This record gives sequence, structure tokens and C-alpha cells, in this order.
Amino acid sequence: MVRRGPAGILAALLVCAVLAGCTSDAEVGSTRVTVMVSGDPAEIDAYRAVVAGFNDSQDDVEAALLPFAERDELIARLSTSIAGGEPPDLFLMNYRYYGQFAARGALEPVGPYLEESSAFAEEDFFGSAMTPFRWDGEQLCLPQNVSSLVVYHNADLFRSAGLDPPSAGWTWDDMVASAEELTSDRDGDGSAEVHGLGVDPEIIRIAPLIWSNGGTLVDDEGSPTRFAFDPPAIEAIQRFLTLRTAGITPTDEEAEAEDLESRFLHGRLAMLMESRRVVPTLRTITDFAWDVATLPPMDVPVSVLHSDAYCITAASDAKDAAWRYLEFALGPEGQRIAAASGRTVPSLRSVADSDAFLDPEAGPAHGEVFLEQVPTLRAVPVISTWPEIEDIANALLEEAYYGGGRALEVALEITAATREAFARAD
Amino acid sequence: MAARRVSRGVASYPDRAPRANRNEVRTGYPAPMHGRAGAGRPSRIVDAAVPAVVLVLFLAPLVLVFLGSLRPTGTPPPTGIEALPADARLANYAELFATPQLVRQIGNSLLVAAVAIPLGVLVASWAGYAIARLPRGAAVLLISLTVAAATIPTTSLFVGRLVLFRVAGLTDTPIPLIAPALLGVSPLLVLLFGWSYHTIPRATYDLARESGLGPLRTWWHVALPLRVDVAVVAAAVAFIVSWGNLLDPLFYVYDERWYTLPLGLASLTELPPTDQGLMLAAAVLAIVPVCLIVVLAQRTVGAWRW
Repeated sequence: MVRRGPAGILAALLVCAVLAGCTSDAEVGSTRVTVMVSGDPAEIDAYRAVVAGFNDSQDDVEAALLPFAERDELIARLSTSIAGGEPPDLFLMNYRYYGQFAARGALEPVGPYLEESSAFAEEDFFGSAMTPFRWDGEQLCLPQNVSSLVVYHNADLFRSAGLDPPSAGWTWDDMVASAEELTSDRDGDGSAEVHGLGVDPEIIRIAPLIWSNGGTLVDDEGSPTRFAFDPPAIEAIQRFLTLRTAGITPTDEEAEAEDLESRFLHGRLAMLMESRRVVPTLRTITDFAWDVATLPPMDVPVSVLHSDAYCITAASDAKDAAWRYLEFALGPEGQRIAAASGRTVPSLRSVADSDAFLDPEAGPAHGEVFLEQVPTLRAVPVISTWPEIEDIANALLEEAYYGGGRALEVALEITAATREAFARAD
Repeated sequence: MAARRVSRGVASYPDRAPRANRNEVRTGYPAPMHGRAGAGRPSRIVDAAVPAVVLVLFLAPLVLVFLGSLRPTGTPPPTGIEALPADARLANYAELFATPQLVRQIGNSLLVAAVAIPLGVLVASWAGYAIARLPRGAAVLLISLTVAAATIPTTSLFVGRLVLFRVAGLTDTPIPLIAPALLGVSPLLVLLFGWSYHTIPRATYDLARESGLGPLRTWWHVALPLRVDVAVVAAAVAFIVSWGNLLDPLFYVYDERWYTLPLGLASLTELPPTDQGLMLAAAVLAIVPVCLIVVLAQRTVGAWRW
């Protein structure tokens, strides 16, 4: 029997470590492109399918996906890897969050690549999704989707209440009136079994209402220095806060006990104000019919942009290969693969207008609502500290929404609390 | 010849230890007290009730997670606490094991643990041994440095470590996940070993030195065998740290093929509410090995000690 001493153990461990560190199937001679994304498993599977499609079409470039569950994880990893000199070649990020990287000069402009591309041209994309990804006059990233805020509704609940489902031209007051009709407390215990509407009290939800009511969100949309809630904006915020005091949306405790998405799935929420994000989940509904409608305007039809884009990092040593991946992922084939997940509204016009996105069998029946809203889309400011500003504003809005606060007071609080973050913005 | 005799362990020479009784020479710990004078029935009831309450408190969440893991996918989540889901089944576990990414992640976690645990225990044990055997001044300095290292926020090290791994060309490998083991997993493990080796009677070390053993062989043939229980506990802690390590793979792994289970579990938390059962099944898979290791460690230490 061989007895191992400490030196033998150490040697064995080092051999194990070296063996563990060996990569077995690296392709010699091909350029590797790392693509960082975040999302739920279904979304990640769609990105994985795009990567597989790209790799099948290439001989000398191999894409590798770096998926993360949450956006915050991706941002933390991206920040660390940029600071450590080892960034991914590409990443996918919402326009509200990429400003911090653009301000640090960490992104490679894609405009010059786009001008010379034979795969697509700038006008092939929806302009409202392209604009927020311009930074200092340069197109830094290329959008993958052009989602927006809409209202999903339980068609069976509308029918059983004798109400017409939402249709083109409906207004905020129509929505509130329907929500009041649909909110029901059958056992009279003071707690509604069905709520008419569910919406998160967040600035990204309230911004389009402010614009719709003719109000202003910030003092200068190009380079904002503070929130600038004028009287129409205050009125819009007050009408939003009234949703809760009128009892047509869940209370704080009810929302904490069961989220809005789950309530809608259970048939206990008649309408849900959300982006395209929830469609894969809603497609699992079998107990009732559901559909989607435009965001009802307080006055002028407006919705808010939800869009993610692929960005190439400035420190990437494989920018040309990264662009080739980008051409595939944002071209017709890549966007069709991504659209099949139900999660995205394609940014490429030709795919958005095709059955790959609009197929009514897959649901929602009126997916064209997202495209009808595109001309009305507006974007929140793109500045480096916007994520921080949103966090501060959302906390105060939530307190006012569930605590019965007044619009003027919360508007003043938000303005004061975010002033310093605006001042630090690039 | 003296060295060969000592290599069979100090327990072979209890009578030669001048300042310690037999048990203290064997274990270095005071002899256990079996039973207590005057222990009555109320005391026994309390002795049984307190662990039972603690057990229920700790087991209840695990039971709820397991029951939730039986919920079929595609069904809305319960609105309250549910004893057993309607149509409960184990299909979620089969679905998880049919997912190549998750199977690979479990394999990667096991591989990392298999290398990192013995390596980490070895390094922590060596460092602790050095602290215990160095002159007092040097030991105090090392303890101070170790305590200071324990207070450094992990997040402040991410960029520096990434630069090191990048320069060494290790970012496409799992070695960054094993690297913490080269530092003894945690400064606390180093201190634990240091304290435990320090409790071994000086006479035992003197005996080993008189027998011609150098520091490394004294550690291997004398100190480590006397502190196997500490090594087992350290291994259990190292496993828990390695198995649940989310941040290192999050920040240092550049190849999805080397993703570990915590990252996979994190991605499942993003599943829609209708697939909650799947996420909970993965949580059970992540929890069970930790419970097994803790139970095994407890039994091993218990058997060795008493």
C-alpha cells in the first residue's frame, strides 16, 4: 500500500487543478466572440438559438453566450470586466441603463459599421428604437426590440361583466370605468377577490401618462438637469395615484402577497399594464381568453419605449467578428428566432410585420397593437445616472401610491431627492 | 527508527506525555462529561424540546420547498401555504436532469468542490499550523493579518483578481473558481486551525521533535491526526462555501461551459410564476448535498470525538 505524504497530496491537487483548467473543445484558428445577455430561461434559450444559428453559418468566427439571470448581475459583471480589462465583445442592454458605459467611453460606435453593412441599413429599423442609442451624435448600439407599455386584459371577465373589451380609441377614463366595474368583493369582507387593474408605481409607467396629459417630465430632454413636473404632469400623477385610493388596484399587502402577473394568471386581475415582457408567461394561460390593447391616453396617445440593443465594447479585440454576429442577430433570421420566444417586438420592420411576430394563434390575438404604438413612442432621458434616478423616484412613488400620498408632494420630493444624481450625470 | 515509531501516531505513546492525561494527549480536548449529576426529568424534557423546536424551525422551509417542487409546471402558483400541490409529481426533477446546461453546471460544481475542498483544507491547515508553532510575536502578527484579511469586503477585490486572472490567461478556465482554496478558502478557517493546533499540548510537539520529525512531518503525523475533527468541519465549511459560490463564477468565468450550479439556480429564479415548481426542484437539488455534508460531518466528528 502506498502512503501519500503532504507533498504527494499537493501534487495530486495541482494535477487535478490543471486538468480542470484544460478546455477540451476550443477551436483552433477561429475568432471567438463573447455575447453577454440577461433574461429568463426562455429568453436565454432564444439567445442561445441565435448563437447556434450564427455558429452554423460561420467557419472562422465562433460566438459564445454569457447569460445572466438578472440585469443587475449583468451590469455588475460588465462593470468589473471593463475595469479589469477583459470585457465581452458584445452585450445586450436596455437604453435606460447603457448610459453609464457610454459616458465612460467603453462602447465602440456601430454607426460606421452600419454605413458599410450589406445586411441591413439604418432605415430598416424603427427610428424610435434607434434614437435613444445615439450618444453625442453617434449611433453607439443597435436595437434588438421596440417594445412599449400596453394593457393586457382578461376577455372572459369583460364578457361576463357585460363590458366591451378595450378597443382602438379607448381612453384613460374608459379604462378606469371598466376597472371599477370589474373590481368585485363578492363576500363583502372589504377585500376584493378581483381587481380591475394592476400596475406598478414606477416612473417608467407614469412617464407616458405625463406626456399624454401634455406635461413635462424633465427640464431638458436632451440633457436634463432635474425633473420638471408642471401642472399637467402633477394632474397625471394624481390620476395615477387615484387608482389605488379608488380601490381598483391591489393594496400594498395584496401586491406583496401575490404579484400582478400571478394575479392575472389566476383570473383575479382584469387588466395588467405591462410591456411585451410578460407574453411568454401569458401564453401558458388556458382557462380564459386574453388579449392586448394600446395604452389608453389621458389626452394624446403616447406610450413609453422599452428597447434593448447590442453594443460592442471599445476594448474588444474582435470588433469585426462582433459586428458579423450583430448582423446575424439583428438580421431577419436572428430576429425571427428571437421573436419566436414571444418576448420581443422585433426592431427590424420586415420581421415585425411578418407572421414571425404577428401570428395570432401564438397570442396575443392583436399583436399589431405594439406596432400601432410605435409612432407614439417616447423615451425617458438617456443619461449615465438614470438607473439611480429611477430607483429613488420609484421608492417615493411606491410610498405615495400605497400610502395615499398627494401628487404635488411626491413630485416635489422626487425632484429634490434626485437633483444630486442629475447633477452627476454625463 | 524513532521517526518510524512516531509515524504510527502520538496515540501510541500516551504514557510519555509528561503534562497531559491520556485523553488530552489523544485529542487535546478535556475529557467529555457523560451524564450530569442531579439531572432530572424536567431537564431531560427541556433537553429534548429545545432541539426539537429548532429542528422544526429549520426543517419547515426545506419541507415547503420540497412540496413546492412537486407542483407541475404550467400551473399558477398557490396564493398561500399549500401542504401538497394538486397533481403532485416528480416530473420537475426529471425535466431538470434532462436539461444539459443544468447537468453540466452540477458536474462543474462537483468538480470544483472536489479540487477546492482538499486544497483549501490543506492550505488552511498549513497556515494554521504555522500560526500555532511560530514564536509568539510572529504568531500575533500573522493572526492580526488574518483578521484584517477577513474584514476586507469581497467586492473590493473583484477587479484586482480579474486582472490577475486575465494576465495569467485563466479567464476561460475554472481555475478562478478554485483559486480561493489557495488562500485557505477563508481567513476564518486559518484561524480555526491555528487555534486548534495551539490547543495540542506542547509536550506532544516536543516529543515529535525529539523523535527527529521536522515541521512538515510533525504536521502530517502528529498535529493533523489529532485534529481530524477540525479538518472535517473545515472541509464541510469549504464545501458549503464552494457549492454556494455565486460571485466568483459570476465575475470570473468567461465560458458558459464552466458555469456552476449557483448561476444556473439564479437563472431559474427568473422563470415565470407558472414554472415555480421547476425552480424549487432545482433548489432542492442544491440544498440536499449541503444537508448531507453537514450530517456526515457531524456524524464523523461525533464518532471521532466520543
